Formats: sequence, C-alpha cells, structure tokens
Amino acid sequence: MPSEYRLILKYADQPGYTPDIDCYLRHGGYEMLKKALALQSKDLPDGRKMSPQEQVRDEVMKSGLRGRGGAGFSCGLKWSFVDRKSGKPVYLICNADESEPGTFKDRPIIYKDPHQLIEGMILSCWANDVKLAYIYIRGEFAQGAKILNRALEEAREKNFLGKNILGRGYDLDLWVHRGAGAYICGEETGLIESIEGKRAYPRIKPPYFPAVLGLYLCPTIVNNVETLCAVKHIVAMGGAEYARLGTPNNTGTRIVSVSGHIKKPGYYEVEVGKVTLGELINDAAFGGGLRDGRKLKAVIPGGSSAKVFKAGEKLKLKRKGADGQMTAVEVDLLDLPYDFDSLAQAGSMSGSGAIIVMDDSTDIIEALSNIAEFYAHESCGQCTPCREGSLWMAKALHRLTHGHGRKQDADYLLNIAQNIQGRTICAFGEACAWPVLSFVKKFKDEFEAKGAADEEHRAREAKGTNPGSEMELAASPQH
Amino acid sequence: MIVKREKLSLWERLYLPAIIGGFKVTLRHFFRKKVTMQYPEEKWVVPQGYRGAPYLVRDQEGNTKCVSCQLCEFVCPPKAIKIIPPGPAGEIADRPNAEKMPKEFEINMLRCIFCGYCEEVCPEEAIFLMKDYSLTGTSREEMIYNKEKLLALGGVHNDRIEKWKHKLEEAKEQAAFPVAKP
Amino acid sequence: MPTASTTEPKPAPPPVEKIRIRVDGREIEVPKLMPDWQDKLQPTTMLQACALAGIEVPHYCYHPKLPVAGNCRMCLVEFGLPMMGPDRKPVLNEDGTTKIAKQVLPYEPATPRGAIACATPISPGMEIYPGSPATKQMRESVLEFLLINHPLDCPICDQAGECKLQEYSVDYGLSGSRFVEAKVHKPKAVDLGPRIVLDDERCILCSRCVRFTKDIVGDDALGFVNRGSYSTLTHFPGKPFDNNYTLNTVDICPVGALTSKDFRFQMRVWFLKQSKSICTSCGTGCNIVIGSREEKIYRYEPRQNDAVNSCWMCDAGRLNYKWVGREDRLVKCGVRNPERGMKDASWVAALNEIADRLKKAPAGSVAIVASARQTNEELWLLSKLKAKLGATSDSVPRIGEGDRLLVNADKNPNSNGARLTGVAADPMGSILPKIADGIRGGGVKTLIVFGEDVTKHGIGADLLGKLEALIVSDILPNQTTELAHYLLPGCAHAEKRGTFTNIKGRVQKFMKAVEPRGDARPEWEFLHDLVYNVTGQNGFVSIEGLFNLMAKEVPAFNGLTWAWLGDLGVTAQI
Repeated sequence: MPSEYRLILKYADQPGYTPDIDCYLRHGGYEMLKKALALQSKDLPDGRKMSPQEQVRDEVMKSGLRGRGGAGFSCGLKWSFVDRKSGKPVYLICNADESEPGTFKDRPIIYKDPHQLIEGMILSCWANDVKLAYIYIRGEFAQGAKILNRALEEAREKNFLGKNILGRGYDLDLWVHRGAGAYICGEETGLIESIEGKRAYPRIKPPYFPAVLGLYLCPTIVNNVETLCAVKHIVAMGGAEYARLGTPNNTGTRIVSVSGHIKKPGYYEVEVGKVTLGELINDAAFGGGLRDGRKLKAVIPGGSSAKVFKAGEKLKLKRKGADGQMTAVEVDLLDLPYDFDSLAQAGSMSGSGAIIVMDDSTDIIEALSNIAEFYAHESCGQCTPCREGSLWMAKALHRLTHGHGRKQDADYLLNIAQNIQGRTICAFGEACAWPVLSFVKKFKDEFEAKGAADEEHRAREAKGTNPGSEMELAASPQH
Repeated sequence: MIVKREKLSLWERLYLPAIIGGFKVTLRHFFRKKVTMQYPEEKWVVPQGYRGAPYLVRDQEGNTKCVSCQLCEFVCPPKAIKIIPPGPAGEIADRPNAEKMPKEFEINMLRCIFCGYCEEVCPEEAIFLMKDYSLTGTSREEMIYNKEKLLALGGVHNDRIEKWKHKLEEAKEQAAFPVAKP
Repeated sequence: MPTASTTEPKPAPPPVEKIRIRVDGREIEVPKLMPDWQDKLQPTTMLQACALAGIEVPHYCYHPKLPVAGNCRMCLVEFGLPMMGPDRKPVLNEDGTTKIAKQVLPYEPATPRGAIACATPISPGMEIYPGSPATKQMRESVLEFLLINHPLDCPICDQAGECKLQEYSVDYGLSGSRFVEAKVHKPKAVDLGPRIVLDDERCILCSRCVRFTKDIVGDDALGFVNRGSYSTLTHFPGKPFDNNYTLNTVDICPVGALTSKDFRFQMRVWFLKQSKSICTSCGTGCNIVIGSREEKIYRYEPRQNDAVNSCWMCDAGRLNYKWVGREDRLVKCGVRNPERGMKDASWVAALNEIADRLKKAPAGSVAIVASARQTNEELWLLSKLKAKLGATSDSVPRIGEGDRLLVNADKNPNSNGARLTGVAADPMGSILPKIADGIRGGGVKTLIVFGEDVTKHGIGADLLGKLEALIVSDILPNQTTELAHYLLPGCAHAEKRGTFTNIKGRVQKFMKAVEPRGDARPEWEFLHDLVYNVTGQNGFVSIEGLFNLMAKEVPAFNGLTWAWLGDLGVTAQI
C-alpha cells in the first residue's frame, strides 16, 4: 500500500505547528547545525585530513541527492564543480522562484516551515565556505518573503546567523531577494542577473557557468528550496542512510504537486520511485482518482514544460535485470514509477514534480493554447528562436482555437517547435517547445481534425457569402 | 574554307520567270486592305502591355504612392531618373505611415529609353509605363518632367494591397500594447 | 624601406600555442588564444577560427569590439568533437584517424546540435561544419524567426542596402514566408535623442547598441522593456540618449532600427561613393569613410583602425562636414588692385605676381602664419618658403576639451605635423605676438596666412592694413580674407589628398572624396608652384612624390613612403 513518506514536510501540516523559531526549536530545530559545526577533522586512511566541511560535502555526495528544481542534477556533483581556488568569495542562492505551472511544493515549506529552509541553507553555506547567501523568492510570494524575513530575524537573534555563529567562528548572512514577477528568474543565470539588479536575461554557457562565473562573476551555487531542506536531513541521517530512501540513483523523498481533474489535488511527499504515476493519480492516499464518470486523457508529469503522456500509452523503459544487463521493458503509463530516470527514459521528465491530470472533458488544443500563451508571455525576449517562436506558436494556436485553423497547422506547429528546441540560450526554448511537440505529436488526429473542420466551415461560409473570403482569412486572421 | 557556288539552272538563268513572279506579288497587293496609317491625323490603338512613357501614379485616395526609395533611379540604364529625397525635415508622406515621399522626382524623357525597368523594380507600384509614345517639347528643359507633371499624367492606379494602411490598422488593433492576448 | 625609427616598437612575439581543427573538412591550425573585444587574449572562438579558415559565419549580435552576447543565434553551427572511449582516450577509426562524434541533441529524434560560434571556444580536434545542411537549416529558421515580426519597411528604411537582415536573407534565408498571423507592432519613428531616431519594429534586439553605450562609452542609457516578442528598445524615461558617441549605434545597428537624424531620408546608401579619409575635428585623427554622391558629402562614418579609433568616432566630428558644402565658399583667385579693389585673377597670374613680390622681399620682412589644419606636405612646402625668405612663422593653437575615449583636447588635426616641419613654434602660437610686433614696427611687410583668421589671434585688422602684401589662402571667407591682397581659394580635406600626423605621431593619409569648388585648388598644388617660382626648387607634382620627398628631409618622417602608409597609417617617432 503506497503512502506518503514525510521527511521535509514532517511537521509542516501538523496542527499547532507555527513558522516561528520557538516552535521549530521545540521540534529539534537547529540541532543539525550545532552538530555540524561541532564536527572535527577526520583522518583519512591515506593520511590526509578531511575538514568538517568536506565531510558534509562528502555526505551529500554519498546521499545521491538530485536537484529538485527541475533538471534533477546531482547536488553533490554541483557542489564539487565550485571553483574554490579562485580566491573569490563563493555565493549560495536558494532558488525559491517557484513558478512552473502546476508546481506548489516550495510554497508550503516557505510558508509553514521557513526555519527548516534556513537551517538547510546555513548548513550548505557552511559546507561550501559561503559567507553571503540569498533566497531569491518569486515576487508573488509577498507573504512568503515576509515570513522568511521574520524567520531570518529570529535566527539572527539566536546567533544562528550573523557573525561568529554559535561561537564557532563562522560568519554568514542571508538575504531575501524578491523577484518582480518573471518566470525566467527561475533560470539560475537569469536569477543571478536579477540579483545583480539587471534584467533577468539568462547568460550564455560557456563561459558563464555559475560554479565558476556566477553572481558578480564569482563562483555561485544555486539550489532549489527542497534540495536545501534535504541537506539538513542528510546531515541528520547521514548520506548513506538517506540514500536508502527511494530507489538507487533516485534517492530520498520528494514533494509532488498533483493537480488537475482529480478529486484530491495537493502536494504529497513520497519516496522517489516507490510510487507510480497511477498511484499518485488514483490512490486514495494521493490524488484520489478522477472525477466521477470521467476517463483519463492526458498527464503532464513534471510541470507544464514537460512532455505530455497520453492515457493508455505504453512506455519503453530500460531496467537492470538480475544479471546486471539492461533490458527493455514495456510499462503502462499508470505503472510508471515516479522518479527522475524512468520519466526521462519514457521521453518526458519529472521536472519540478508537478503532475497535471487532464480527463476526457479537456479540449487538448485549448489546453496547449493556454500553455503556449503562458510561455509566450514569459519568454524573456533575449534570444531569437524563443522570443519569436513562442509568440508565433501561441498565435497559431490562438488561431486554431478561434475557428481559423488549417489542416497543415499541426505540422506547422511541430516545425516551429523543432526550430526552437536546443537553439536557445537557456532551457526556456525546450520548455516552450516540448509541450507543443508532445501535444501535437500525441494528439495529432485532434489537431488535424480541428484544422480540417475549420477549413470546411470557412469553405461553406464562403460559398454562402462572397467568394474569396477564404483566401483573405488565410492571409489575415483576425485576432 | 571554300564555299562551293552552285551553278544556276537553266530556268533560273532565263531571268524573266523571276521577274514575272515578282510582279505577281506586287499585283496581289493592289487588291488587299491598306495598312499604311495617316499619322498624325490617324492614331493607332496602343495595345495592352505597351511600354510608353513612365509616369507616377496616385492611389485611389489621391495620395502619392512613391516613397522615394530610389530603386528606379538606381536601375535606370540611361540615368534618366533623378529623385531628391525629402531629408530629415522634409514633408511627411501623403499616405499615413509611409513616412516618406520624394521632394522632387524628375524623368528626363530625352534620356528615357522606355525599357520598363523602373516599373519592374518599383516596390510600391508607383511608376508605370503608360501608353504615351509621342512626347514633344520645344526645349530640353521642357522634356524633363517634374513630380507634379508626372503625377498629373499618371493619374490614379488602384492600390490592391494598401500595405501602409493595412499595417497602420493592424497596429491600431494592437494599440493596447503590449497586447494581453496574442 | 622603413627604418627602425619609424616602426612601432614591437616586442618579440611570444610563441603562439596552436590548435589543429577542421573547418568544413579542411584542416587548419589556429592560435589557441586570440584577442577579444578588449584585446585580452581569450580562448579562440569558433567564429574566429572560421574567419581564419576564410569562412564567414553570419552573425547579428556579435561585434569584434563589443562584449559577446550570444543572443541572435544566427551564428549557430553544427560541430563535432573527438569521440572519447570509456577510458577517456579518443576512439580511432579503422584507418587510424580520430573518430569524430557530431554533436546531437539527446531528443527524439536526435537532432544536430548547434553551438553559437561567437562564444564557443574551440578545442583540439574539433570539427566545425559551417556549410553543412544542418547549419543551413538552423540559419534558415533563425532568419525566419527574425523576419516574422519584421515590418519589411525596406523601401522607406535608411539601412536598406547595408542591412544585414537583407544580406543574410539573400544569402541564407528562405524564399517564401509561411507566417499567416498578425505581426507584432511596436512604436515607430521614436525620438531617442537629439541625433537618433528609433524604429522599434525593425529592431532585432541584438543589444549591440545597449552594449556599446554601456561598455564602451560608459553611459548606460539604453535598455529593453517588455518581454518576449514585445521587447522594445528604449532610453530611460526623461533621459534622452545623448552622449558624444550616440551615432556609433547607428553604424553598429545591423538593421534600420537606429537611424541618424542627420542622414535620415537624405540619400540611399548604394549611391554613396566611399572615400577613405581622416576626421579633422581634433588631434586624434579618427579614420573615416566619407560617403558622397555627385560632389556632395552626405555622411562620415568611422573606419576601423585599432591603433587610433577602433570602430568608433564622436558625434561632433561626424557631423562636422557641412561647412565643406557651404554656399559662401571662396571659389575665385583674387588680386587686389589699388584702385579697383579685389579682382578675379588666374592662378598663373596671381602666383607669378606673388612670386615676384616674394623674391624681391628683403630677408626677414616676411612672416608666415600657417595652420595646423594643413597637411604635412603643405606645411613642409611652407617651411621651404620660410627657409628661402628667412621668414618667421607660427601657427594657431586650438585647445578645447577632451574625453577619455577619443576626443582630444588639441582641436587641430595636425599640430604634430606643424611642429615637425618646423613651421609652428614650440609652444605653438608663441611667435604670433612677435609677428604682430613686427608688423607694428614695420619690420614685417609681407604676411602669408594659410587657413587662419589672424584677426582673431592677435593680428588685428589695423595691423593687416599696414602690410604691403597680405597673401591669404583659405576655404571660407573671414575678416582676414576680406583684407587680403592676394586671395588663393583652398580645399577642404575632403577635396584633396594628403597626410596628417595625429597627436600620437601616427602619419595617416586621406583620399579625395569630392571635387574642389570653383577655381579652388589643393594648397599643396599651388604651394608647389609658388615654391618653384620663388626658390627654383622643383619637386614632385604628385602628392605621392611630394610625400616621399618630405619624408626624406623631415627627420621624424625618415623612411616613410606614401605607399607604405597604407590605409591605416604608420606611427612615427616624435
């Protein structure tokens, strides 16, 4: 029987749990910080000494923690890329710009348990010799910023932050930086530009890899809220113990936001890979199934930028057999384990852990049009394919949903999307192209039928009224 | 190379048969319809597609179509066209949104060879080779047609596309800029 | 041949580390490091490597003198890297060559991966395919994206003819459009500043202007507002785009978004004749191209010379050309008759009369006021005259304000030339009061003035009235020319050839763009005649010969030849 495994959200929803520091301290808060700061250098078998900070970094590496922001990149590896020899200060930024449609997993942490994030951040900063760190919170979380600021104030009072933390000679300050309401600020280099006070134009990589040339061109670590919280639990449990949660290479717990046409939308913390997509949608412990009398039509498994799955799809996965050989297996959509690798092999991604469920009442073209409109609105406008392509696709879909479709529009959209993906500065190109690519590919019959119906309708009207209006419609659709 | 000269046959050498043949052709034409035209009393019907003198045209709203892009001036083989652009402080175009039109536009009809390149190159459909073929004047200066004269002679040519107007209307529709919906 | 004294000091070049790569199948060796926009050595980019291979990678946002932005995506190229085995060693083909893995995107289906050539460094063994079908497809799609919302204003756009969007559309674009939606409309003919008009619809958001004004000028005046396809270039509210370098943004704008108010709707660029010249507005001597048509100058544009002005020039210098076409230019040679006043004369008559007078003049009775706006050759000819006549000479200093970028405080274009040829005193202008005293005392009876209004520099009209002969050559009328006994109409620099020595000693030549007005002749031409008449010295009647002769005699110019100056000039040791 699948059930939630609450680690990060252990206390958040308990009655009587408040976001203030006293409540957090009552629940064992900041103990891990005290523990870590008290660590001693360890002698290695080869005679070298391992500093306490290195030990924590080593635990994170051992834990196999993967970033919870979207890309699922190994956190330990990310930390290991940081250029520590440059002599420049290292910065850490918590990416709390949670704005992927369908995602609402960081918000409960920030609103209900801010000190957990702060403790996780202090630990991460300490492990990476960071003296100054930022929490970049999306502008719409005005209340969240207030809560965090109050929490930071409390932590400073108790000397968990500031000069000479807990008398251990470590200085750290943490600042909350509020965004101004742009999706692109969630992209790490865009976020860095935004903190620097510029337009959040993502930087080109190479040369601006944050681990080398990040904030103020200094080495910078950008981690998601959930990832940083997980660091606290890794310090608590030890990396090896943490890695036992979840499945190999997909360790730990993660918070999944389930939304759409289900009975119980909400966030659920589960062990990665231990729960299937079908269970998250249908199980009483999670989504609770579709609305009565409805059938599943499509699932977006990782936020609106992830590729969609069509109900009933058979997905090909690679599984390690008992003999260690990789074998291909076919899995039904609903039996797909919800982890990073399975979803990637199935041709989509777990992204930010947002499952959007669509039942058979959904007009798939309208749904895509809605997503495309979002991306056209949020494209930062820096590089050409995404800037022009996202709006182009949105306009074409708008046309399609307003009776001006054409038979060739499905291929038209596919071609535009293909011209965007992989040719942009940041991953936004993929984010705006993938929904279109997957929706149109998997529901091509619907798109073509709509286009054909529109054409037929126009032809009928043209016969009734004036000849030649069809040509005009094709040339200048009225928006 | 030596080309061998064929010897004439006897019939050919007789000479008279060929003369008679010639007379027959001449005689036949006595009974045919006359083709000579009594020009200038009589005028011929200029066919479609005839390339006569190039003139400037106005659109159906009476606006100058030429935007002074000077492509005709560039392409003109005998350099018969001279355009003076409006300059930064010049008069703005008749057509709203077209931004510019020529301050002066001259065609030297003595130079013009009626090739039609100007019409072909014009991106605005502002210059056409019309049916005028008999251009006269008493001085060289008179044969340089200026903008007013060219526009008066060119008359109105319906603009089917109305590019500038269409663009302006499209822009006005998006006046709530940036538009909320695509 | 040039001697060591006139060449730039060049330290022995350090050994250059090279990398072998392949560009479209051709193996070439390129330096591992190459200068970036600030001339700092950085890893060589694919774009630079392709340029070395003789292949141009099309680009909009990249500019060699600006920081790399990488936003236009036009320079995307397909590339391959040596395939690495699990042992981190290159995998070999059967014939022993390294196996190359063409880079692909890990998507379904796998598509070729493009890298922006402007920012991607090369690595050993890399293969770049700027001519491959995949690269071609990427360019086509980027151009399509750029064009869908472009207004296609070409008939009314000042950039038409030198527009990169036009050029690349022809070279790399698709022939047809499949865009059936409505274009995005943005503000047109926006007044961005006193010299710039902006058409936002034409803008392709390459950010060259933003980077130029921020990183080169240091005036962070421009920026983008709004998002996505509605992004709009603008200046800060209430603060017009107004610094002394704004017009450079017009040059670097690859499309017709930024246009110059001065040049707006003046002339289509394809009519303009381009003549290489030098800006004369200050001692920097920025290299320029004069655009002219039918003997009228339409614009100055900077010409790249990394030793002088990089790719830029100041607005003040750029707009300082209108005086050349002024209506009141001096166009007639004149000789003053005691009874009938100034009368037109032929050049031969005037020069002969002047020569006769000068030959008779006792030593020390002649003074020369030259101008540091004259060319090296003219000043040198004047120095010959000076030597023969035993004359005193000087020229007029002009000191204004300079800046940290290009504008020099010395407003004369050839102060160094005047000094090196020995015509100007050191410091310049220090002898002018002595000349005035000489006239006042009656010692100086003949004054030769070139291109200066001496009444504004201490030799007033009353003194000029005392002279027996006032020989004046100038371009525009002024108080001195009105009092002249002999008036010789000269040429603007755009109407003649010659050389200037800039403030750093760089000798640079300039070419003729337009014909002189009326009877005006280049000063060096009639000065040559005059020097021949007075001294009997014959020289070269061509500017090339004259320069070469001067270079032999003036120590600082020793070893220089006209041909060796090239387009970019040579720095002399001064």
